[in-house]
Amino acid sequence: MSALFDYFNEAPCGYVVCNYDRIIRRVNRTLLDLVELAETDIVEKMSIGDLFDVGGKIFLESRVLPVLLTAGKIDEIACNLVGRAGVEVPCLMHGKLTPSDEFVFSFFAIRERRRFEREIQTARRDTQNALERAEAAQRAKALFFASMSHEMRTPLNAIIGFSDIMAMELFGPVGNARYKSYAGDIGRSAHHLLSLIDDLLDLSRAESGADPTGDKIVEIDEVLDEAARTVLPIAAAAGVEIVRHSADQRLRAVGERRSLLQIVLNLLSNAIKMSPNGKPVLLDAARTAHHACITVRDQGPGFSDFMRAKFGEAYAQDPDAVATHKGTGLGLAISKRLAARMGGNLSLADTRTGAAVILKLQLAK
Amino acid sequence: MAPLASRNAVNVAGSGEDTVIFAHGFGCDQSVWRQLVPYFEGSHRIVCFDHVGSGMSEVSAYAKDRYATLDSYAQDMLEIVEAFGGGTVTLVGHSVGATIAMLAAAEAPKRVANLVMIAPSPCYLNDGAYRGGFSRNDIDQLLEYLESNYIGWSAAYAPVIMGNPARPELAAELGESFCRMDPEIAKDFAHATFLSDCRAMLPNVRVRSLALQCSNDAIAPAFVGDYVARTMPNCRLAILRATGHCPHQSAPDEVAAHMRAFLAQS
Repeated sequence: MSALFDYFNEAPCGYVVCNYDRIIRRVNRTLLDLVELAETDIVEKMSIGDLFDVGGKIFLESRVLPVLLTAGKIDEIACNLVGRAGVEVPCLMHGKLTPSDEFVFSFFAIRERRRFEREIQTARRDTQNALERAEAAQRAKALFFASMSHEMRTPLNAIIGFSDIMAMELFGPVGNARYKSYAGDIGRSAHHLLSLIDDLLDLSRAESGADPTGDKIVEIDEVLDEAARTVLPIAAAAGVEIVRHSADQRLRAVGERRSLLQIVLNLLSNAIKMSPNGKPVLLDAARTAHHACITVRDQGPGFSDFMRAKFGEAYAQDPDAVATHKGTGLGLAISKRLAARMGGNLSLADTRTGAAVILKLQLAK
Repeated sequence: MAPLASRNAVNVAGSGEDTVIFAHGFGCDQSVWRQLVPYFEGSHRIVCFDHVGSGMSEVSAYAKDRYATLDSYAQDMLEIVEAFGGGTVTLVGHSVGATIAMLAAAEAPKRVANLVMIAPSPCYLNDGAYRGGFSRNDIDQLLEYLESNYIGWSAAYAPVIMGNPARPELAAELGESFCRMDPEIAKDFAHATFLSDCRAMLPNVRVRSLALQCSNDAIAPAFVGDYVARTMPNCRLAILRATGHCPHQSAPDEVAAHMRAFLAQS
C-alpha cells in the first residue's frame, strides 16, 4: 500500500482527482511541484478550474468535461497550469471518468514541446501567408500581362500599318531609297515585337485557367494539316521541309481545336528554328490504347540539360542559347499549359539526335 | 446545399405527439444529450442535431460569413422546427445552444410553445453593471487554447474533414469519436459564442420559458441566470443543486424533474 502510495506521489506526471462538483480531492507530489503549491493550498479548497487560466477554465467546462461525461475519457489536451505567482506551466492533459464518478486528470509538463509547437504554428501561418501572397502576385501578374499586351498591340498595329504603307509607297514615292528600306525594317521589327506580345498574352490566358477546354472533340489529322500549311513559308525560308509520315483521318481526341493548333504551331516553329538547313522536321500522329500521340521531331542540337530540367517552365531560357535564338521562349510553357487544360500532357522524348516533343491527348470515345 | 437532415445530422427518436428539440452548446455535439433524452423518450418525439461545423454535421455546409453570428444557427434550428416539429414544440438548449434556441423562439412564437435554457448566458463579456463573467482578454485566452490544441486536432481530423478518400480508416475511427470539431470552425464558433451579445433579444421572447441555473457555474454565473429570468417577460428561473456547467450530463435526473414539471404546466 505504501509502495503504491509512493508510485502515485512520485509518478512522472501530475495527478488530480475531483468529483462532479469540481472540488479537488487528491493531488500527487509531482502536481504540487509543477504548480509550486502545498497540498493544504489545494485539496478541498480549489476547484479543478482554478488550476488553469480563465481561457483554460472555459475550455475545461465547454469541451473537456462534456466530452469526459459523454465518452468517459479525453486525450491530449494542450493546457497551461497556473502555479504560484501566476507562472504558467505548459502541460499535456489526459482525463478519465472513473466508475465511481470521479474525474482523474494527468498532467505532463511539455515546456520544450510547446515551444516547438508554437514554432510550427508560426511557420505554418507564415507559409500560408506566403502562399496567399504568391498566388495574389501571380494573378496580378497574369492580369497585368493580359492588359499590357492588349495595350501594346494597339500602337504596334499603327506602326505596322503605316510602315507598310510607306514601304509600299502607297501615297507616292518616299524619296530616298534608304528611308524606304528603314520603313521595311520598322515593319519587320514591329511584327517581331507583336509576336512576342502575343506569346505573353497567350501565356497569361493559359495561366489564368479561364474556360477549361477539355470537353470537346478535335480531329487531329485536319489540325496537323492546317498547322503544316501555316508554317510552310517560314519552313521554306529556313530551307526546312515538314514531313508527315502517316495520316489517320479517324484519329479524334478530347481537346479544343484552337489550342491544339496553337500547340502544334509552337512546336513546329521551334523545330524549324532549331533544324539545320536541309534537314526535315517530322510531324507525326499515332494512336495508343487510350491516347492520341502527336510528335514533332527535328535534327537540331536537341534540348540542353538545362532545358530538360526546366521543360515547360515559363521564362526559362537556356542561358547559352538566348543570344542565338529570337523569341520569348514562352512557346513550350504556353503549349504545356494549353495541353494540361485539355486534359493532355506535353513531354520530351529521348532521342539520339535532335529534339522530339510529344503531345498526348485522350482518345475521343 | 445538403438536405437539412444530413446538414445538421438530425436524429429523431422517441414516441409522442409533442416534440422536444435539443440544441447542444459550444465544444460538443448532440451526444451530450444521451443522459437526459431517455427521460422523455416515452412521452415525446425527440429531435437531436449538431450545429453546422460540429459533430457529424456536413462541414461542406459551413460558410465562415454565414455562421459569423448566432442568428444563422438560430435560422437552422427554425428550419429543423419546421421540418421535424410535430404537436407542441419545446426547444431545449444548453449554454450557447440555449441562446440559439432563445433566438429561434423569439422569431417563431407561434411554432414554439416552450423554451428550456440550461446554463444560459446571452452575453459572456462584462459590460458595465452587467457581469457576464469574462473580459475580452479571457476570451482571447480561450481562443489561444483552441489554437494550442490545433495541431493535435488538425493532425487527426483535418484529412477526414477534407474528405481524404485515400484514408478511409480515419473516417471509421472518427465515426466512434465524440464531439468532433474542425479546429478552424471551432475558433469561429468560439468567436460567435463568446463575443456575442443577445441581451437585446430577451425582452422579445414571449414564449413560456424556463432557465436552469447551476450552482457554482464557472461559465454562466448566478448573476446571469437571474438577469435572463428578470429580462424575459415569461421566464421562470430554477436554481439547481447540481454544480458546474453541464447538469444535463452530471445530474440528468434533477434537470429532467424540472423540465417535466415545467412541461406539465403548459
